[in-house]
Amino acid sequence: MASNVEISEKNFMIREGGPWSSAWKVAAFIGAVGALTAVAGAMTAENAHRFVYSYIFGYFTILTIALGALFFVLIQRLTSAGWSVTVRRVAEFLASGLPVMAVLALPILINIKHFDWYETVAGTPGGHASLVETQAYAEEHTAPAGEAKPEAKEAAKEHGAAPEHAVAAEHGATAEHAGHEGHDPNHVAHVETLDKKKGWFNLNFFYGRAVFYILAWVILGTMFFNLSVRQDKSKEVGLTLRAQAASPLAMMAFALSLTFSAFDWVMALDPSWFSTIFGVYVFSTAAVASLAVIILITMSLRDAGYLKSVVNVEHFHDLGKLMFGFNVFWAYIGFSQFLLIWYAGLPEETTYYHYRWDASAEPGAGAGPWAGVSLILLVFHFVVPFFLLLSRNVKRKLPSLKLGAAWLLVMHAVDWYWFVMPNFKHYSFEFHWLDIACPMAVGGIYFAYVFFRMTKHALIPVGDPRIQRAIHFHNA
Amino acid sequence: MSSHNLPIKELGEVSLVAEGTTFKSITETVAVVTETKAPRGWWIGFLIAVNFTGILGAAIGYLIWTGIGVWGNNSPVYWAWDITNFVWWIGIGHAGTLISAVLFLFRQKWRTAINRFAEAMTIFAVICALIFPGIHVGRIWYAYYMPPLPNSMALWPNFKSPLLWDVFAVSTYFTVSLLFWYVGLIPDLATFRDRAKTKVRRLVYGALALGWRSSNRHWQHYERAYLLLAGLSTPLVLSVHSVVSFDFATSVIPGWHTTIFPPYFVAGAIFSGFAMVMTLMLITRAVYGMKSLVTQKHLELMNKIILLTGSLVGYAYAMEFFIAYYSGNDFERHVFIHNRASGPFAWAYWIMVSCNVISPQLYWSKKLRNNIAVSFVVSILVNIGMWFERFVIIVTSLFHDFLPSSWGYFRPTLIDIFIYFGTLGLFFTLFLLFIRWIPMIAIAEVKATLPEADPHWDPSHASHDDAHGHDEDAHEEPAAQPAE
Repeated sequence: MASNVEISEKNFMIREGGPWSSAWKVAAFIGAVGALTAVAGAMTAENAHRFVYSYIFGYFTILTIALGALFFVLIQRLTSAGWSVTVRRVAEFLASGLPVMAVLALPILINIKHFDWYETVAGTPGGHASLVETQAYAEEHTAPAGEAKPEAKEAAKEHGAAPEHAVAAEHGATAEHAGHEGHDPNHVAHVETLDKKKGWFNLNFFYGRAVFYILAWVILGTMFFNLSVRQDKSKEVGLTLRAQAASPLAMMAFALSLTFSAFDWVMALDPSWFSTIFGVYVFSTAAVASLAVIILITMSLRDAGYLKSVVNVEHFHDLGKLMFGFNVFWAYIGFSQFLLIWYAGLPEETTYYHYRWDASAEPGAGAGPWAGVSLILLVFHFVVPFFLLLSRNVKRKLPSLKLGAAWLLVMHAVDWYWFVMPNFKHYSFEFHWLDIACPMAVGGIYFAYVFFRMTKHALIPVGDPRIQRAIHFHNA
Repeated sequence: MSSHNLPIKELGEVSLVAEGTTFKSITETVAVVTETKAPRGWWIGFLIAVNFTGILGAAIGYLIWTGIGVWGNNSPVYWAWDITNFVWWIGIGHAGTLISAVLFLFRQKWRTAINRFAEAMTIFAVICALIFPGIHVGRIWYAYYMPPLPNSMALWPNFKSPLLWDVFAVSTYFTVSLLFWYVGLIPDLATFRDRAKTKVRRLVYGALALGWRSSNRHWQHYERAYLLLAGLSTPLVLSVHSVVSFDFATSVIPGWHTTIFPPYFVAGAIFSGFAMVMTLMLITRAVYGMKSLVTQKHLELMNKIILLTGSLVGYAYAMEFFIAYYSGNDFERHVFIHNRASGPFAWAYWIMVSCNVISPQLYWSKKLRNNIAVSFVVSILVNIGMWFERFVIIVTSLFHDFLPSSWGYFRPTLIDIFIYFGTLGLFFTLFLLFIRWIPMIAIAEVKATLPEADPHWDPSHASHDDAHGHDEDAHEEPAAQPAE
């Protein structure tokens, strides 16, 4: 296990010509293809609305990886951990991509008129046209789709004058009510509820909060990366102390930015639904997915001949334990939310699970297409990985751990699809090519940046004072 | 190799035990407490605690004789101090399980100085907690209805009720905690047996030590059992208080029904448990001279956990309050704004916030984290705050029923007060007996954290045979086991 490779920057740089030196180009190509396709989709009237949902799906699938990696870095700093020093740099690379994620939030922010709450609370009756008419169920609304797109506000102002239409539009996304808008007492209650949230869905406040998340991510992603890479050259112990000292406040900023960005950009897709545990739920997805990505990248680096002397089965075993543990935590949080909502049976909350299970709004409609996805999550995100990863042997055999990590990463994407997409059109499952293009765009751009940075810095924090502890670490 | 694990001075790392601590001094420090006469302070504390236990017995006797109407519970507040005390005690127990199981899996070796203590606290706290549902059934002779026992009346508890899940959750928790505690005790009980000077001690500790001979085989079995129990206890840390939170959150009562309750209750439980460990530890280590084993470093780390869990609890309070607003639900908003933050019980709410969220923030300062007086005061404040948290959750959600005509207020009776302080008496009685007769610090585990316990410690590779005899078993490094 111990090696005679000297711990210096030059011995842990990615070599020219290998697969890792050009990995960023592959990612960039995927990102470019995805981005062009997604932009093309966003520009067309019939797909503009879908784009927002697909984009939020792709964005949060990747954002949670970056934020989870930041969490990994912070927790190692907070606990002054020694075992993890040689795998921490991979997490630092991933977290250093947060400024990119901050920029990639812009497509969400410039499209907030596509949020269901927008017209009710923005103080204008406008905008709803884009909502209603670009819905897949637009057959019930015969207005031409082209009207919806460019100056949606203006277009809708004229168009949305009819009061009953305006009411319906606020609920454009609730397909179950399509066809009898304006007559359903539920709608009136729904509008009244949204009305009470105007303070929160105030546009300036909404953008102000977005600025806070973005600033937090840019600062945290940059700061912890810089503190670590500066140490590669200077070997200065004080940098470790500074990172440790900054980590508690950073953890608070992390927790608040993650929670409220998830509230604002995901939970608010269904503006009348709420759950206090939602931030914790999103955090659990971040922890699992980031550990899966850290494991996969570290293994891949090892396969390419890097890190062999400093990362061994002991580190993978520990990473595997954490991934397993956080996956159980994910199930615990998901189950807690489900059980409490199911047991209490309050209609304002149960909608969440109805949309993810039922075939239609009719009572007793039975299981619909989303029920399958819900079951897939239960069985393949929890039950199967639980039994797969429970054993010590499985976690200590690199191929089986790699399978577990890749598996959980796929399920992470399914999970986020399940979070976001039922809000687009309730009760019906329609896969759209934008659902591929958007994650490709976000993931490609993000990983291109991360992989590019990996070619510029050492793959382990060679200057960390605890590095020998990590190199010689073993699980007894 | 072990040099990599030595403290790095430039990073402010320090040894887990004070300078000059040896295998021998650890055994002496811990064992001597049970081998010499109890100090006067122990007797004073014990007499006070036994008196309170007597009050508890009398108050419970009166309650059973008269009925639970002797409590202040009345329409619309049918749950009050009884359930508050139950949840509070169960919560206090959580730190023991967290320290012995979760921190073990995370290889936090500093836990070794406090785990025995905290595990004992867990068991006694659960005993105190179990009194409340037991006596709350009113007709205590029907308490056996709680477990699902086959009976000729074909009567079964309601399996859909979280109250029944509680019976399972808490009894499982108690069983596993007791086993875990006992398994960990075996090597130390054997040490006591080997040191015994009287026949009674030799027989009693000998029987309890289950024939422990410190052989390699014994250690292997021991460590495997310890690891398995740690693995089993870890989900219990989460499950017990989650199920307790279901008692409230599965209902539709505003203030009770909220999805964050399970993890929020768990964080609060660990928070209050650590505060209680801190309170007890500060007194005990001063009285019994344990400062070489429970160092300032341990206290600082515990204070950091108090700051962390206090902040998690603060996060949960904020989420509850925010979502009450965000839900747009008038009843939710009413509970938080008019029944908690203002209104007749605002005093309780603000005691809760000040004690639980504000007071731990002092620990951002390293100086205050390391101040004994501050540590003591904050640990007491946190326990007060955590009691009020349960009181606020329970009573302020009930006293303004949905119809204003059913609004009321809650006032405890003398019996409420007697029974609550009586359980404190019972807890301290058990605790003082534990200190007197059982190794209160895990001798074998603390030894394993010494540098010389590392098999590769001695640079000259000298023989390990020396005056410490069987203490050398510590080189098995029981505290360094991995998690499965």
